[in-house]
Amino acid sequence: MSGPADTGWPAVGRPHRETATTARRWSLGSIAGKTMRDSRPGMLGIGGLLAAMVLVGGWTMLNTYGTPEARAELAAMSTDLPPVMRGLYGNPVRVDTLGGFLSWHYGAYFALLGGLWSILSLSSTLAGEAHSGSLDLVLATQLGRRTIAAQKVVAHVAALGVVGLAVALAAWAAGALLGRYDGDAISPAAAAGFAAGILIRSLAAGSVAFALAPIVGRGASAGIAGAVMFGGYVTYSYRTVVDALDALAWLTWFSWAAGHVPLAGSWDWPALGLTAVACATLIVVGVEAFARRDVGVTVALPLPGLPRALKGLRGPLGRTLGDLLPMSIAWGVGLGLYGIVMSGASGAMAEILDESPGLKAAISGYIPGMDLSTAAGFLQFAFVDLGLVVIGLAAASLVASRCGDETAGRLELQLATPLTRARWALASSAAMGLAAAVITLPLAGSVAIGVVSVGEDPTGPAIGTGVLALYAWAMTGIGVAVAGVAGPRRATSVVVVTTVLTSLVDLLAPGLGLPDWVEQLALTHHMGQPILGTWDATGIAACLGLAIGGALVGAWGMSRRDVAR
Amino acid sequence: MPVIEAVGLTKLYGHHRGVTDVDLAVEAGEVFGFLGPNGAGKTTMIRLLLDLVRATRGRALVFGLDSRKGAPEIHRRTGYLPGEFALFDRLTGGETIEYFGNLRGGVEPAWQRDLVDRFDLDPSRRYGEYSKGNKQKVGLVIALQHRPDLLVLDEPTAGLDPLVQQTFFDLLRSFAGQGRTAFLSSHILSEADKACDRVALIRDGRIVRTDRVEALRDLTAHEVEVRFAGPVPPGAFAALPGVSDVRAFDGGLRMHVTGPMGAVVRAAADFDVIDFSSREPGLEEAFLAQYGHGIGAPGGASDGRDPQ
Repeated sequence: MSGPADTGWPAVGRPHRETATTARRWSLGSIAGKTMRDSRPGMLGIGGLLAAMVLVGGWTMLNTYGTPEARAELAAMSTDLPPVMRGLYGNPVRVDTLGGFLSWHYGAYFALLGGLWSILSLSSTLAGEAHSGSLDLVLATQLGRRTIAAQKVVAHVAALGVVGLAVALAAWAAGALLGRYDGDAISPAAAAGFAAGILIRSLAAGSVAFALAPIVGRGASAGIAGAVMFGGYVTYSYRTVVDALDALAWLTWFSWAAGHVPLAGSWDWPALGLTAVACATLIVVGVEAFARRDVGVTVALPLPGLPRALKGLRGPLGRTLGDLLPMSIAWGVGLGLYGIVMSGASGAMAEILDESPGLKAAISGYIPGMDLSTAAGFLQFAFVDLGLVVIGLAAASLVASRCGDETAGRLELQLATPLTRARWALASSAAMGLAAAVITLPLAGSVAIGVVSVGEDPTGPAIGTGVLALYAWAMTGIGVAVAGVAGPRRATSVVVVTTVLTSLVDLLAPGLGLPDWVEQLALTHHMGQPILGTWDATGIAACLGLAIGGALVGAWGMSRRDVAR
Repeated sequence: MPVIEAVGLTKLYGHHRGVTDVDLAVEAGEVFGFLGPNGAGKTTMIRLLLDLVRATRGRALVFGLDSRKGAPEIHRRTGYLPGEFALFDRLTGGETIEYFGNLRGGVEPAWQRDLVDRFDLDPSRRYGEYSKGNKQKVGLVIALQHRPDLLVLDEPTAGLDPLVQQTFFDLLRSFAGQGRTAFLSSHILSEADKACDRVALIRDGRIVRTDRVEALRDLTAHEVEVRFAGPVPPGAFAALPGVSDVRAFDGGLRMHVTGPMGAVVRAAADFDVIDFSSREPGLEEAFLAQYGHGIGAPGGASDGRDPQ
């Protein structure tokens, strides 16, 4: 009989060797270490992005508002802005200082981007692993469910801490390197307070997802948390414009911690503490739900299923579209609600400008060629830029779903039929184009309703929303081309990065004094003013070219490479 | 003309080996087993035949058509079950089967229903809610529903209970009886033993032997046990041709015998024999012998070339 010496096993009852401390903390020696290890790409990506935004924001301040007079104008403008315009930015506190400007101009974006990452991480950390089956193996170890869940959360909070550290360092460095006047310096304490605010607001969004994930599953929890976060942001931003939103604004953490602007010398630790308590409560709910419920068994949300005719059983175009439709309808409804809010807000804007001809003249000087007293002008100004970013991210989600056919193995069985790779690539590209159109349809409808409600002609603005579909087609074209040539695993990331970079170049190039050709590289720079009826032929041609060219390149690439698994 | 023919077929994934210099011919009407341990290259071989991955060197012909250029025509006549697959979680099993029927065309609804019934599949449930075995049943119906001329099956019985496995083997026999061809990969040797006419053994990406199942069995030693009325020295058998590993036990001898049994029978007849038993080796032993782990292992590793 083999003994311990033969097998290399310890004798029965003898404790196993302890795992090394470094491995437990940072690597494969513990749940938290493994989670941290898996978080590295996201942590570095989001930390780098937010830190870069701080530095670029500081550089923009230095270039655009480099004189005391320009800063005085900025301060005056921030206080003179009507509430509806303030909603587009943040809480204006000492915006004539570097820290105040950063908080005012970019603060909401930091919380939204951090929150998005937190949602994606905390919705998938347990529910995603339960769905894939890998969690069963972890649960079969001696670790209890509460321990596993708690370690996952601790690792995510640690990863958020690393991101916060990067943001704090960047804020401190921006103050030291780019500050020019009194009040521009950013103390380490202010930088840390700023980062703590972002961290806790980001975690609030992730905590919602974490609490719901064991009950409704990964996708639904991420969707609900995303809706809560973006809905909260819109509610808080436009509470002074829409009465109904004002009544709800107290519900969102964007309201609770609005007074915490450390970079401008305004601190509100109690509010931040309240947000932290809410986070902790939600996390405890998530841990308990995970500990008490059956693993991987979720409650299906009572959403209506697609009718059989829309499931797409006849061919690859219909099938891909059938798979994408629920997602595109969700994006469309979300964008549509935002469109209604913005269209409704345009009426309030028109009233304010009618009552204040001086302000109207000042804004006309600031934004030439755009009459913000009309619904179309306001929507073009306030909605299209953000809308293009959102539709770009929506396009990335369509690309991810389409690429999932290949990586999950669904494509392999389809390609074992007489269906050729090129035909599948073209059909699925066309399906994504239709799905993108489906996203913009509710938006067009909601914009039309909103514009009619303020007594204007809805035709132009409703048709103008088609620019989002055009942009989405371009982004899906890029994704299809990358997936075809380089394989499905990089395509989604490329679309996200392209969307964000394009938007940043368009937004920051003028302020940074970059050459004109750099700005011209941004596709969003060539989209015209379609809500106002001005379409840019170059942009339209570029979008269609990217969509059609991308589909053809994708089909060509797909025909040449191995099918991924 | 062979239904499947591979000539010097090689697939490398960067620095990683898929299969190397595979030569193979599968004739019409055969049930051909492709056997090997995990990671040996079985799935790569199947994916090469179906043009899901492209060969680094060599060529594969199916129905006499180049696997790449003739892929649509090959696929039209082939039914495929991957070893691991995912389908559309939001569709029901029935809708999934219908979709693949539409992609192929020419599926007889009565035969489709018959398959669903034979595999005892509830087609009204969502695919995402199925157990592993029921998902495998959906895959089998998809592979069989258009009555293909060639079946390519990667680990076909994974997750199926014994009753459904029996149904599958019955279908496979009836399928081959109609002159159709099946190429199935497996590491479950008993199922290849039960179903296959010929098998190829693959190791580290190379085919090490291709032969009929019976011939492979003959290559492997029988385990012979002889009980005697009195003590018999092992030396009386150890020097006989084909005999190895002679061991004494209380009341007799056990030994491995490769090849003809006559010399052993004649030697045993010199003593007072109470009982003589010879156990025929299964494919499992043949397989293990090829890999140097079993009884009668012929020296373990071969030169890596198909001896045929």
